[in-house]
Amino acid sequence: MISETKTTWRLIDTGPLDGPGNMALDEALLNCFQKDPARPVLRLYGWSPAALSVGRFQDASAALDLDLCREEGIPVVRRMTGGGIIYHAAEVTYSIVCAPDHLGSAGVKDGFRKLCGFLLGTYERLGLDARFAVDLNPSEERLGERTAFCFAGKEEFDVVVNDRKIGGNAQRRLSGAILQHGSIPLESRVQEGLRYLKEPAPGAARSVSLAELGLRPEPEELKKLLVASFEERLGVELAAQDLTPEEAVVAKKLEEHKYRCRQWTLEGRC
Amino acid sequence: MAKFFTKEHEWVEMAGGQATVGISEHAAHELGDITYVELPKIGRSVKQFDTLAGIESVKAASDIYAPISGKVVEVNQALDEAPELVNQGAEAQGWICKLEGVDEGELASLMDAETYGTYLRGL
Repeated sequence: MISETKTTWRLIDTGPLDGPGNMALDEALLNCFQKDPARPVLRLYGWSPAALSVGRFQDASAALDLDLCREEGIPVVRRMTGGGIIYHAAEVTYSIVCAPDHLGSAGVKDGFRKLCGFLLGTYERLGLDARFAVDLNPSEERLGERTAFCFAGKEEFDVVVNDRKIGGNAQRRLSGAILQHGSIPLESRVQEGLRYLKEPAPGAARSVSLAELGLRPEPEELKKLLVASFEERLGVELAAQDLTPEEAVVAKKLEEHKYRCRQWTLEGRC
Repeated sequence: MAKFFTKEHEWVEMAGGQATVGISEHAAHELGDITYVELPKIGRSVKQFDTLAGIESVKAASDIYAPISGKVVEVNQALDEAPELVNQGAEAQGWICKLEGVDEGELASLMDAETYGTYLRGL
């Protein structure tokens, strides 16, 4: 009997890091993969301390009350991915680094559907009816409108449970390489995050967390479900691995010279 | 003059020694609703296939690569206020910038419209 050989992806669980450490590591994984695209990656992580992230092209000082962030010691970091502001607290975060070929050369929207499919599977394993917003055919809602706060907007391939958005996902595309990262909210901390915005984000009340849905899985249990769903949905095998020495060095440099740099955080350049 | 395309879906068109650059209709369609275009700085010199500009659609941030080497002499300021122009006409009113001081010999490493069409069908 001939068995089909599955592609092996690297599974890297780095545990919780701070904002600059997390974003530097995601970019390091992407950069190193672009040079040597042999093994795609699923990374799992968390945020400690809680932090706000702004999208690649967002105007941080226009969207955030930076004085309040400073007074209250809330770190702000700029992502290399698109999308709006996210308050990272009480969540399991993932990042995926792969090539378009790993998704069958899918376009951006198809890529989102393929890369977010494992999230639907994870929520299904938790007994939830999770769908993509685009598949629910909402009657009055406008999908895809740009909002300053990620959880205030809803886009086609956002994951929705009980008509409420759960988590957020964003992509960065380079030549031959894709980074997607996103979150599974364990508890709703959206109201805490909203305090730091300059403008109200009324749509944010329509997001939901696992705790609000009556589910309180341990992060480790949730990670196991994520891994099983990822392998099933993408038809791949995950092999637990550490960072390579090169990835660790690149991440450290990016952390020091980019993600801890005020100019990058505020202006998107450094 | 005809357009030439890169594998990363940028186009370039020469006229009067100037190269107009943008992303292809295919790329704009694939990206979906475009929400922001990061235009290059006027006066900046770029090499062929280096990062020239940035573009964000509903959720993906992507780089735009220079299809030809040159110096940026004009940018499409209308995209600051209306990035959706790229969706409405990526190969017309949604152009990104104009370059001067280009080496037209570099066009030989790009695809003409027919070859690009064949390339797209193979994706």
